[in-house]
Amino acid sequence: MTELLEVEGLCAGYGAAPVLHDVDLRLAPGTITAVLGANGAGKTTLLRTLSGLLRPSAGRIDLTGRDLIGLPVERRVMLGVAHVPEGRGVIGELTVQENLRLGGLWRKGAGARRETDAAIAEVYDLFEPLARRRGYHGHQLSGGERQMLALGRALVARPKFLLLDEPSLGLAPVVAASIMALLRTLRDASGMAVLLVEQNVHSALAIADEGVVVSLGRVVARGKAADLQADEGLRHAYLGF
Amino acid sequence: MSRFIFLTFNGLSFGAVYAALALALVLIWRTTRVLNFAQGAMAVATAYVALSVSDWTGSYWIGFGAALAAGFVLGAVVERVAFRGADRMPPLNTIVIGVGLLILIEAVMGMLYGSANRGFPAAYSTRAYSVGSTALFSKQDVFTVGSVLVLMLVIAVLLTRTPQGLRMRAAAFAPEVARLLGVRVGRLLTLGWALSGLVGALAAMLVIPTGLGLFPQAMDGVFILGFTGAVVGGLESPVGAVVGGVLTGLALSYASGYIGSDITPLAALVLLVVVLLLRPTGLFSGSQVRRV
Amino acid sequence: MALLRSTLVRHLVLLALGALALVLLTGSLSTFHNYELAGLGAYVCTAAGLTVLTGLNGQISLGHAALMAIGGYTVALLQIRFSDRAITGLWVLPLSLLAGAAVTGVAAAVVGVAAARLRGPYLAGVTLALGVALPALTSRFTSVFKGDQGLSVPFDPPPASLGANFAVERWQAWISLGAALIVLFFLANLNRSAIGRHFRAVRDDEVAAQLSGLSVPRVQILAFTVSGVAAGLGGGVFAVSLQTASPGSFDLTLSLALLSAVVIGGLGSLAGAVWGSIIVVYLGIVLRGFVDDLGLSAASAQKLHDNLPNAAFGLLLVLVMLILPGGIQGLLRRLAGVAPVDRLRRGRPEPFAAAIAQHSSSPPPSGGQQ
Ligand SMILES: Nc1ncnc2c1ncn2[C@@H]1O[C@H](COP(=O)(O)OP(=O)(O)OP(=O)(O)O)[C@@H](O)[C@H]1O
Ligand SMILES: [Mg+2]
Repeated sequence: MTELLEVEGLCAGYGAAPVLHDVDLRLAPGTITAVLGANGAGKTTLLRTLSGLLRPSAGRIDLTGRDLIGLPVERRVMLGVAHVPEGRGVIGELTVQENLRLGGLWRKGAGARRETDAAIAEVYDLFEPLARRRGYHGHQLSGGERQMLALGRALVARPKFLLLDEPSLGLAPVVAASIMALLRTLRDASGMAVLLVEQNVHSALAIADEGVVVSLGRVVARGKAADLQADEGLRHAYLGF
Repeated sequence: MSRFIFLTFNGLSFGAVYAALALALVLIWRTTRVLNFAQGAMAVATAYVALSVSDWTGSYWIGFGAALAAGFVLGAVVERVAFRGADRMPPLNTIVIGVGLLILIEAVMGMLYGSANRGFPAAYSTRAYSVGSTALFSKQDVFTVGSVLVLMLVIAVLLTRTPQGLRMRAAAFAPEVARLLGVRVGRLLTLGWALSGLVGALAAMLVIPTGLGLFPQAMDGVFILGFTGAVVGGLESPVGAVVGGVLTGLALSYASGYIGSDITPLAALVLLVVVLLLRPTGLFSGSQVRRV
Repeated sequence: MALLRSTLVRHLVLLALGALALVLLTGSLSTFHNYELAGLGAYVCTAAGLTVLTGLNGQISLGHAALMAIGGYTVALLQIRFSDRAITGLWVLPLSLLAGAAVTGVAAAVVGVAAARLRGPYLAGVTLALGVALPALTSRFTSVFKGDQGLSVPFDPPPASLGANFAVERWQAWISLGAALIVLFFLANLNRSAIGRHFRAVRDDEVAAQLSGLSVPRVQILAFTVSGVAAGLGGGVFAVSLQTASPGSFDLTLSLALLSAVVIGGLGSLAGAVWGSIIVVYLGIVLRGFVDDLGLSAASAQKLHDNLPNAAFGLLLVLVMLILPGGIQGLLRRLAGVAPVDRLRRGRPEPFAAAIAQHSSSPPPSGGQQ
């Protein structure tokens, strides 16, 4: 099988309130999949369940053939899952450098430090502004810089599977566009699978390979990004343009 | 003037102890939003461990080390048994749990060792050096300030210079984000409690020999002063706790020296209330608003 | 039947029944057991006030014994004056007790002013410091308070009309438990009144309470005052039952025992305060008796005798918080299948209670108050 991630029949919720119903998902390596849907559709819930913050009530999550259900977040991180949460999750009290180092602290063993340092150097190459602000504290950064830091920190882990929750929220269109473009580059260079939650349907579908539309916790449509963008009925019903 | 100098050194020595206790409280407060009212009782328990181990081995220093180790273990055990899940409790419940442990630990010490005040030897001489007629400080004072300083430096290095320290700070500031980066937050909370227990144990080992004596309630008053120090420093920052503890030691040394030693509990109350009402964020916190 | 549905009448009936039970009970018990009952009455008075403060209004106090001390010392000082001037009469002791309660209420209001600006652990720490500092004052002003030794509390013997054989202990039990019944009666009615709803509204959601026009600090100060009056009366009858007011009898241990009582009984419930007081007083007695019967060596018996009860309370406190945050009363309610009304906050706010309470008593606030 060629899939990197296979999700089947996933159900999850908060306490007694179910949110996700029977979600199926297949991600191939080296692809970007956009998750689209209205506010409250369950997109964040889906990401939290995949990264292990939320325990599903039913379903199967396989990453490269390995069952993730029951594994705590830390174990999933070691297996190559990186989740950039809604609101970015930059730790304001820590410096840029410390935030980045944190991204590689899960590594154990002899070469861990060297590999993390190399990954951090790459991130600084990728995001020039961060390199100039290594000693700044997270809360001293602009919104765009924070997004770079959050994304860069996830990349320090060199993940196989990257989950991004609304990376362009609150960013100027130019900055958002450059981040989107970067995701494409990263996909091609690293072969990782990206699951991208976005409110900005146009720009998400523009860079994505696949698209999934979620409504009330169910996948109501899926397909090639280009096809979704062209589907008039879908656009009217769920995507609002 | 000579009295002032003596009181200053005396205040610094006691201040070091309050600073240690304040640091112990802040280490936990920062990470779990629990103010551990059992901190003093836990520290007393470690001093009893030192007493038994010293009796057993005949070595003061083995007992001393055993107390620190016991503090470390006790801190971890208390977190695991009583404060797991404290983040999901209303603040009132965590306070009551702390008070319950305080009563329990003191009572257990009373059952094992009796309620009487046991003499507890100091590591070094408590006789003050003097210059002319001015009494300055004793060897024990130097040891007190020195050992607290060393421990604080070790903790500072641990927190700011090591991977484990980076994990601990991440877990304290943003537990969920830390988990997403592979940090085992639960374990680090336990480690924080263990460290705090160790710092508290050091405080007890330093203050109990200096006039206080060892009995189950020995640290009740010291706890209040450590708490005062932590509040003066703003409860949020370890550095603030240390400075707050030293200031508390100085203030109380002057108050008891110039007004009378029976004034100490009242002076602590006044200091606490004044700081809380005038500068609720403590003397050293930044601009962030705190609701006390 | 409709009459019984009125809260006031129901509480009055309960009060009368309680008084009757008290008369019958104390008559059938030995003097020693009556002496224990007198102590219980003091606990119930204070614990009832503490449960209103902590359980209903959400303000914790780790120093309630200090408030009891104010009541106890006031009563002692007044009774000594009366006795010195040979003033006697049935009204003398009630007057002293009332004065003790009033003075304590004023002191508690002052504490409440500071407390209204403090939350959670800060308030706990300050009240703890108060509980330690106030008894220490007695050694500062030795001429008035007689230091560690304390003051004696003289009071008239039981009235002759009760018979010549009426034991002093039985009289003390009447005084103490009578005071407890009166406190319970007043607090039960208070809880059902608009004031009680204000207390709960502030506890559950300060912002919502404020938005609906309540003055949060004023409600909190009032709660402290009410609790202080109860503690002052408790301290007064405690001093009468011990026949002395000394710093040792109002120490930190007592403060923490009171907290144990209200938590074990079930925070916020008056019945719980009674249960809790009974447990704290009688579990101690039972455990001490148990230790004494073990036939241990004198030294170990002494250690256990002094400390086993506290170990039990401490353990109970932790277990109740972890397993049964509603305490005994919560357990009883659950067994009876009644939804918990006032158990410890577990994310069950009454956001509109303040608004409802306010609208029933005064016109709505104008404008956007913050
Ligand atoms: N912690 C929580 N407890 C209970 N319910 C929650 C919680 N978080 C989210 N929900 C509910 O789950 C549903 C899905 O929320 P989710 O955050 O997954 O939506 P979303 O698609 O990410 O929306 P948005 O675009 O606004 O971020 C919503 O109805 C929300 O109310
Ligand atoms: Mg979302």
